[in-house]
Amino acid sequence: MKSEPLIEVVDLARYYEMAGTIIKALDGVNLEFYRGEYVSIVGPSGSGKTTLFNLIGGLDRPTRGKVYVDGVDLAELDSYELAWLRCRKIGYIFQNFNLIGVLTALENVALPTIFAGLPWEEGLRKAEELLRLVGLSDRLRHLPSELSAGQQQRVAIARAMVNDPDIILADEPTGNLDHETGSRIIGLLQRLNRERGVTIIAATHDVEMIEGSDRVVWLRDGRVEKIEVK
Amino acid sequence: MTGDSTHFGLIDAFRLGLRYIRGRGQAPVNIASISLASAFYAYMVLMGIGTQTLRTYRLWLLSVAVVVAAVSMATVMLISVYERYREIGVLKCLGALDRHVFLLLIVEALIQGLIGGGIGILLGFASTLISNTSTPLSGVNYLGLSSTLPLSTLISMASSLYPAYRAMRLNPIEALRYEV
Repeated sequence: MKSEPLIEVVDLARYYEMAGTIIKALDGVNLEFYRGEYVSIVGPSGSGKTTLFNLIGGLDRPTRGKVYVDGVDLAELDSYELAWLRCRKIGYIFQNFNLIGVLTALENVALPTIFAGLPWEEGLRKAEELLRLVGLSDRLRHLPSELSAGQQQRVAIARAMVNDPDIILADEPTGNLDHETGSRIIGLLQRLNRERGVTIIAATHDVEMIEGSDRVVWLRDGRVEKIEVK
Repeated sequence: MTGDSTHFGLIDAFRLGLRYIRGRGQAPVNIASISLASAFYAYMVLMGIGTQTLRTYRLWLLSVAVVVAAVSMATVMLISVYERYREIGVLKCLGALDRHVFLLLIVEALIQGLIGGGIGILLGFASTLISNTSTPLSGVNYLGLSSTLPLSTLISMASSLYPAYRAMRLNPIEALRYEV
């Protein structure tokens, strides 16, 4: 593996105050993610997976510690630069797909290209290409409500890929899918990882997803319990 | 990496705003309330303001219509923002800045104000014809009539300021957890 990590997390902590008590969602996590890796983050709910993703994506600020993406300390970026980071460097995949209901599959995938400053026509062209890649070239004009759960997640994966990010953060991507559909989504993510070299960090409970990854990070109570290299 | 930011221009806001207006149920309600107030205004422009007593009475009616339209629009836009809580969070996650979200909501209001104003002019025109058959079309105050549009968009946009502000300020982390 290359020496320079793509993402470096140093002594990362995030505390919340809830009804007077301090909740330590993350409490001193040290991790490195390398370019082209496929890492699964495993842990019971409340172990800090989503908090970790929010911090890596710059959606949230840590209580303590640092996140470096491509050598840049996120604490030194303003909200404009963080938006740029989320737009160009990171793709998001959610458990409940989170597509925009009034936009077609094609428009949903093209949406992030607007924020990246691409002309709309070019965004649509890229979106069509990616929808073909995920096997939905016959569903371009369908609204999310007209698509099955598996198809919606494939649209979401295409959307995550459209700005050619280095990193994909997937939060329980197969959590709302049946086993067979989930299997196909995992296969697709693995293919993108292999063929396009995109680094995938996935929070998951899915055994199949864990089996296929390069490394598995076990989180418990906001700390790294163990790291398993496959 | 530094110095760069994301983009979302007026044309992008129109494109996305039109999709939202077409795809969601609230727009007709907004357009109806704006067109009602606009119709009142257009009718008054066409009929003239009238004598002293009639003038007070009509101005009073007009202000009531405008206030009702504005309050209704603000309420419906606020509902629309809450229903889209998660989607707005997603937009922010994908790279939208606070001001992009604000622009989107204001442009939606602008479009609905224009449509409502247009319908209002037609309604005002129709009611003038019904109530006063002797009005010759050549005598119509077209300039006065066209002032309906700036009025309707102004009401629409002004009453959407607070809903747009709420949308802009929402925290994406909370929004993504939000269940409707």
